[in-house]
Amino acid sequence: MSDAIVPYSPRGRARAIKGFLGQFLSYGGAQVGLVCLVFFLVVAAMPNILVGPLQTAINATGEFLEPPSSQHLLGTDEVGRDVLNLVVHGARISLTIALLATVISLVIGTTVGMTAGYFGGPVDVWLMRLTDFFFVVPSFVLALVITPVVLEVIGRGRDILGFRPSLFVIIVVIGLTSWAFVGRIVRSQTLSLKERTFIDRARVAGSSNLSIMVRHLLPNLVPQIAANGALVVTGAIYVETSLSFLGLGDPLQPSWGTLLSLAQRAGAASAGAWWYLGAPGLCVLTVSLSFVLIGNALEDTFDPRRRVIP
Amino acid sequence: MNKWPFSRRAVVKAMLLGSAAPWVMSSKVFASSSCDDHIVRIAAIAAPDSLNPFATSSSFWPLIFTYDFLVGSDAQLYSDRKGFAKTWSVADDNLTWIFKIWPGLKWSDGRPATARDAAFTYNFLLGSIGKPDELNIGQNSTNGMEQIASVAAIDDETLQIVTKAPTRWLIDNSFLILPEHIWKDISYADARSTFRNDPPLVGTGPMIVREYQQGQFVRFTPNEYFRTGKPATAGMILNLFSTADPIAQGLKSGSLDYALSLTAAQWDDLSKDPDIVVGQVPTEQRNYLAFNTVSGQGKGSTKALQDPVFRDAIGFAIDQKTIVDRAFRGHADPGAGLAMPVAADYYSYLSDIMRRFDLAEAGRRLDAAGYRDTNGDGVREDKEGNSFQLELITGTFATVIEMPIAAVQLVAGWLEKLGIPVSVTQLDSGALTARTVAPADGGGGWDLLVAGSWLSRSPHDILALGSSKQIGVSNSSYWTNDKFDGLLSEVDRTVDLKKSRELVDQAARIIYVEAPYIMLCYPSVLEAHRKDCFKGWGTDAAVSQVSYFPFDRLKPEPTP
Repeated sequence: MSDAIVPYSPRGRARAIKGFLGQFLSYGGAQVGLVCLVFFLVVAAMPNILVGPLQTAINATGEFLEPPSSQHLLGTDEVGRDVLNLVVHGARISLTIALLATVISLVIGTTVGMTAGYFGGPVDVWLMRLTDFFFVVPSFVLALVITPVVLEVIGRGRDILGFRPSLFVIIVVIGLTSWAFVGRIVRSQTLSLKERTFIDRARVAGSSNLSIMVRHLLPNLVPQIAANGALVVTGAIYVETSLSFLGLGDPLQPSWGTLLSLAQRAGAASAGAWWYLGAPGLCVLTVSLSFVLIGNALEDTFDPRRRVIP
Repeated sequence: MNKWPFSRRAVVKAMLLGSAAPWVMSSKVFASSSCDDHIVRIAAIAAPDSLNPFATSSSFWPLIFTYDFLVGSDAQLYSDRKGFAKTWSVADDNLTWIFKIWPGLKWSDGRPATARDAAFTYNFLLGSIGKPDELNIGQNSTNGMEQIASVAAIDDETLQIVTKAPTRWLIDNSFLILPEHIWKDISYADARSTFRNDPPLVGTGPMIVREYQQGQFVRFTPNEYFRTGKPATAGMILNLFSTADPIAQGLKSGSLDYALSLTAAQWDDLSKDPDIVVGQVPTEQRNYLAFNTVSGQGKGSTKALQDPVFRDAIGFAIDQKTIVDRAFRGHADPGAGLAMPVAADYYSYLSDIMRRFDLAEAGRRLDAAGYRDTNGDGVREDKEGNSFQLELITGTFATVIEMPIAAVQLVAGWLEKLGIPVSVTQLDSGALTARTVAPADGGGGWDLLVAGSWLSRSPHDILALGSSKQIGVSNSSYWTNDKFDGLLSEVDRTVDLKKSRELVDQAARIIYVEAPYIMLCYPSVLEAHRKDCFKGWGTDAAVSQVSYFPFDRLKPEPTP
């Protein structure tokens, strides 16, 4: 069993990856998800080439809330900006926030889960109580409370790591509130892995705890982390959209959530401007759906039970 | 073990409910879109938190429909919109005012409403001055009361008020006159906080609050003792919403008769509906860009904010016309001085000292004043050599017209073009209030503020934005100027309109040149009403924003 998990020769590894990709791509959901995702990643990577620079209230030229036409494919918003332009530029912000928040959440979740599972005892108890706290408190409500406070503390001054402070805060808050799920799963997997003989062998050979965790446990956890990571991204997109919808985003850098918020404040729904609400809404739906599809396919591919009984 | 998937009890319940459904569906509760019940349904974005006018000013609607002002601004403009007093006059000394109360006026519980009730309301406030529980936070507040020397009811129909100095404030204020027999046993501490004044209320207005569900609705019944006779409608329901979408939808579907707080897009859409009449009413609201001018505790991130030359230069980078066209879609007047256009007696365009939008000119003035970009990174530095990075906070204070985010985008965009980067933080009304109170109370720390203020059109309130006594209340820029304060106190002691106008103009020029505020615009409130159920709506504004007109005289349309 253990040699199925740890292929050592380079050729074996290449074959394993090939086998994995073959099986992964055999799922229809994975194909749809990947195509959508690649499309949005391309869009997010080069918004300026596709639709020109971000339109603001200053350089907007269109009429107010114009329905879709050949000139404005997705119509215009309440100040005359092209909705297509906003949605494409919003893709970059929404995806950046979601992916970075997921990275933070995965790093924290994996560290906490692996430490708790590997050391056990009081370390496990305390770390898991901490995890329970983030589990019990609904992460969105927690984010809703934390965001203004953090904004208040670091809201002044210049960009942090290249992000406007308000975007940076949203990334950090989503990352800090969505790791509990990952932590639990990683811990349970660690509990099972650490009883295996290859861990004992490593310990007898004199490896330190850190080196065992990083070199032996972590590679075996990658499937779980990857599959759950895709699901965490979906959650992050939703939280980002909701926080921005409630006005906690950066009004100068439109993410999809901010666009929905602006549309709602402009009364787009009751004025019949379906394109203004629909375009960013559909984007959020598509991207989160494709992440869910990919996550499910990954889970199915990695699932050992499926491997044994095809 | 019971194999039947539903318990017998549940089945019987379902049958009972099913048989009741036809009655429920045909009852009046669900027939909200028909005119037959003669109940006026109105809606607004509002969040009254108590019906006690001493504890809050957030319940202007609904209390305005139940209580009367002594005089108020509508009564001075329209002879048929009087309040608690039928006539008013001032003696030759300009200090002694005589108010004649309507003869035979009654409270909605049938008891006589007299000058004694009005005297009670004023003396209740006067008596609290200087006490720990001074009533200075609500709709009825002691702000302005210091000008009063004495209040007395000479007889049931005559109220005499003597002021310390000549003032027009007595007829301009918007205090609600309350019944003495309800309020006489309330302590100041209770009036300031815990007393909720639960319905049914007792008032002299046309519509009496009968039921109040916080955050949902307020239900009114007609006052059968109203001084011009019981209103012809069967009552009124004020629906409270937090967004404009349900309001516009309700009006379209016919479940509302009158809608306030509409957005420009909805207003445009509704104007195409043949059953609906839309209107825009200019208001006393002023939307402004304020600089945090304080130098000590609560100061902003750079000393430049305290420099009038810097603020004046920024003024050249703000294009009021574009803000009106783009952000308000024309439903506002471009900003100029402190006085708003609806205060026609005091409004002046200040055309001789007016700043004209010119980004290059703004840049030249900043360069000349020493705010240059010396290190060539595209961002200007202040005189201490620090790059500018200003924090702009924005939001909508409770009970004012919402600030469109496009206005903030425009302001931030122009400043960015000048080489002054801005970060924007949107705050809800509570947080906005907390950050803009006086620095001594924990406010300040921000750099720029884009917000709106809606006060009355009295000269005192027009100048309140620069008053050193109003720091953190109406004066959000924390700016003070002795000459301005002197003019303000002179205005407070002036009755003559012409003199008062000159003083206001002088003060408005001082503050315009010093530029603690850049006026962005004076927005209009957007409203709409259906014409199929009721008649008697106003012509220039369907519903007055400062009195209970026209809910005292609406009549059901005869059903065809």
